[in-house]
Amino acid sequence: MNIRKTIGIAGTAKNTGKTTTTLSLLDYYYTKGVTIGLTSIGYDGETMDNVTGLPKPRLFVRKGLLIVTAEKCLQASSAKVKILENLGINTPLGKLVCAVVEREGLIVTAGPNQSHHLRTVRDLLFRYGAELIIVDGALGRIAPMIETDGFIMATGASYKLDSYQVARHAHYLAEICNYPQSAKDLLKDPAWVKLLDSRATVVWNSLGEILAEVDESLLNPEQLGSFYNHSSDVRGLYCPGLITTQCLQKLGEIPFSRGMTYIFSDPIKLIVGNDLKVTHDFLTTVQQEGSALGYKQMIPLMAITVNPFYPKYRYESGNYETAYIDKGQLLEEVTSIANVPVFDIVQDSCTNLAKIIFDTGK
Amino acid sequence: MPKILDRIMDAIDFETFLVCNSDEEGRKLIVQLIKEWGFKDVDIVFSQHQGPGSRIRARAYVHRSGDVYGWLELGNEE
Amino acid sequence: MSRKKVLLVPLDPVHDVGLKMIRRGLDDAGHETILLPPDIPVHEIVQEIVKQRADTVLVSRTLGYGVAELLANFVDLLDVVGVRSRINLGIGGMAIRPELAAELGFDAGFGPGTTVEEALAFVEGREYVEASQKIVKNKKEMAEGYSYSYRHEGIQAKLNLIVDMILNWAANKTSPGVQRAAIREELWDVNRWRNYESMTDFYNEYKLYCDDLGKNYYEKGILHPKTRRFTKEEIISSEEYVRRTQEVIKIPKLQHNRTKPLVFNQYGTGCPFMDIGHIKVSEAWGADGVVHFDPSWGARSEGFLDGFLTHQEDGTVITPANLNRIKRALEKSTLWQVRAHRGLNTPETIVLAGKIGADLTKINIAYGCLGAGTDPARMTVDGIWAIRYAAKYNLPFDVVTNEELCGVPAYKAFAGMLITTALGIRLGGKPILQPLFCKSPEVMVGGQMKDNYVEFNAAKIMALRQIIDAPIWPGAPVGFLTQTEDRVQSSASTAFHASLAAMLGVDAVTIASSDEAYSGGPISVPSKIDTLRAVGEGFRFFGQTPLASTPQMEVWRDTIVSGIDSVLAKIVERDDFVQSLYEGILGNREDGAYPGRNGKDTVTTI
Repeated sequence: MNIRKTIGIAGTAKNTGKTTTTLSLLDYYYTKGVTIGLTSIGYDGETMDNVTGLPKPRLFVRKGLLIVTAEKCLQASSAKVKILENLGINTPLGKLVCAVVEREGLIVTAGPNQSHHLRTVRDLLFRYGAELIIVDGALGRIAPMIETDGFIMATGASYKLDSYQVARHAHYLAEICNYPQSAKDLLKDPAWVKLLDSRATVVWNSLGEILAEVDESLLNPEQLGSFYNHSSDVRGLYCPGLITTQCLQKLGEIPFSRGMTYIFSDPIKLIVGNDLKVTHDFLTTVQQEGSALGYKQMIPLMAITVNPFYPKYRYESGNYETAYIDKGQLLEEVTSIANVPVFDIVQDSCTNLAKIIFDTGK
Repeated sequence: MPKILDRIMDAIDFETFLVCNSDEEGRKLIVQLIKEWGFKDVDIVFSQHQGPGSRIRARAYVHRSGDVYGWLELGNEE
Repeated sequence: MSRKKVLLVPLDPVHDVGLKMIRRGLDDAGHETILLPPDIPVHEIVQEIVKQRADTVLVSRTLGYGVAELLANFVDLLDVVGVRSRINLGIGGMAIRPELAAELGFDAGFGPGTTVEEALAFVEGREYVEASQKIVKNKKEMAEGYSYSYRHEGIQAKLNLIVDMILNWAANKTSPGVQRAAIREELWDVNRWRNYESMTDFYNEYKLYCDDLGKNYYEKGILHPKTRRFTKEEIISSEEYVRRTQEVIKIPKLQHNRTKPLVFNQYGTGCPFMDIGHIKVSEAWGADGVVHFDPSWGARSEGFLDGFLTHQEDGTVITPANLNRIKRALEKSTLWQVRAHRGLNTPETIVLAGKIGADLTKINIAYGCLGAGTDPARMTVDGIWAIRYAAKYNLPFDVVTNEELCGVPAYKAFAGMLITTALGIRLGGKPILQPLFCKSPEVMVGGQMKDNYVEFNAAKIMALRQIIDAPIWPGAPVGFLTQTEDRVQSSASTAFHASLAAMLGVDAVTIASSDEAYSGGPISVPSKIDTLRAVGEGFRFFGQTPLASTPQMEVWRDTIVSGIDSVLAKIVERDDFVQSLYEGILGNREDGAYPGRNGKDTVTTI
């Protein structure tokens, strides 16, 4: 039985192969007869034609693909589509519409920008029969990934020229997303499980009684003041919202006893706006002290694709030229320290990546 | 470049009305035109697109501050 | 529209003056505003947004460095914290391209140069309609609101006598010009002509009253040398150009806070297609109306040719096809004047102009024969019919005192102008007074403009207003003979003269291009933009500031009025208007005026 899934494709920088990854996956699933729903978070301004003001379509799509995109994108597309529904969500490129590709060609997607809109889009695509939804991410935006079941990260030399740094970043991300367990699996005591309904950040004792309660999101270390009281009695902490880097650092300083259970909402809340190293180090330290880490909602980093290409700026011509770092080294370094499957998006065939993402059963 | 250009104290402006579809298009075209004429240090001083095209003033700097000024050398030539 | 709570966030190390101005505007409109200090870390800003429960958040960013990452991160934070869906999020500032704002999903992105009004519209959830879009220019009825009642009894009485005199004299007279006008009026159906239907009835009658140029054309298809026909491809391309432009054109308003004066400029490169090119640009830069400048050779020949004729001399030939093509290219709000103030075709010009759809025309019997070479008797007979047709086709007409340029003193020229005006009123027309704002020979010799160009010009207007309640439209163009080939000097002079006209509260003004003094070739389009821009700036500068009257203005005003009175008295005494023209009462040889010879002895008695 195929479970319906939503996958996000994020990129650490431009030219890391996000589009290539998307295209390869679309192709693969098409041959397997999987109905795909495609959308994106916002749009990339680089794809806009300065003169016409319309997006330049770059994704080649085939018949049967379901898409949610803005009206103006359809205007610019060479693929023939049939509009199924108008979502009534406004974007700078017009209203979002759901359509199905009737004749192959080029399109560009400009989807919803806010995560709650992405949820609407996702539900709609499933309603129209999508088995797998692919969400093309936007640079610098990770928050909407909350509406996915997991994501792929495209990275490479365009992010950092030093392949070790690329690898380290990938490692941090993988650890943050994948190391903590699902809170459901982690929490045995029903009294504790109930605490996950809390709308505030809470700390509790062994009986599941709340000892202190602060705001939903921890933005400022001052908010953590009340946690110092009874800190030795605290056995668990749940934060339903965002935690900033400073708050994580501060949290690490509070004299909680060893063997705590930390539950966070989802990995996105630890990633947005944060220094990944600090987040990663917090998780590592806490784990080394014997504490357990869990997410109420898991959003796994399923795979990483790497791209050795980067645009090299030439002063003489005032332009960019194609350049590459050592791709073997890049692949090896990332694979060795990131605890997720890593693929070279250009070299490797898509098959293994696709299988990890979605078991087509075919 | 012909020597007459040396006599331009600093810059020569090209003022015209270019029929075009957008401000960007007009700017691109005029810069291209002036570069085709052999000028290198080219900039748009003013551009306004309205109605059928753009009112544009493009400038080519012949002598910038700190350059060797061709018009100072004039006496030596003759 | 409810009161909103707006949080203003400077995402910079220092305060943003633009944001402060917007805050002021929002306060004035009754909204609650909170301005955060600059240089606050992003997560603290997010905290404030959550805490304050704002409806709208306006962010400004001036520094370009790292702006995309910073903003992406900011939007992400708002999204994750759950507050993004509850707020109206706008961003602006020097570093913001609206495209970036759109990419990142801001509800609005304001580039540099955004006005407080735009930000206010966003906060209130209204669509912002740019001022220039909001302006729906409507054609103004220029003579509206004027009673044409006289304020000077003596002059009124004399004018009435003179008008009687003229009409009696002309009652039994006609000319080839009048006859052609009648044929054009009766036999030339504009709709049939536009549909390319046969017009042979018309041609057969018409050519009998044309001279050789006309006859050659209608019988043998021979054109004036230096003219050529357009090809079909050229016609199609021109239509495409007009259509494309009409789709995007937004017509700005030059007058700032005033409603007057309307701004006219001239076209007449020789080629109607180039003229159309120019006209669209003039419209796009704010011209309210355009004036057709036709070549003098057209006025010297009996009869009009037809077809799209382009030629290389100064002025665009009047043919039905040329006029029709130009008419079709005009925006609905643009006023169009076709002149009939001299030569052998004046009444017919008005018939054509009326049928094809012009808005205004120009008639002046005195100027036509004293400064433009048309025979006085012919000019008078034709002029009366011209006025009749203008009244019939509801074409207001200006009466321009161009003879001032020859050297005729203003008071004499005004006397002539008032006579044509009085005729116009009697025959049911709508005359508009057109004194010149110029550095005429009169003032060069008399020294009235030694110190400034203001007082004598103002005195002219004041003088006319003392005599009659009629619309006034200084021309032609204003600042004539003050301009040199220097662009800036020329544009400045035009702007100052137009500003003077505005301060005097006149109804319209005709402006030159900055090429006015250049005689080496046709007027260029950038030079037309030069003066439209300058005039707009002049209007902006002076706003509605009034002009104070000076003792010198009053002295000159009185001199002009009494001068007019005495000239009219002489004509009444002479008891023959046409002879008065020949004899120089309205301008003599010494003044530089010579009765014209074009059309001499062509007036016949019926």
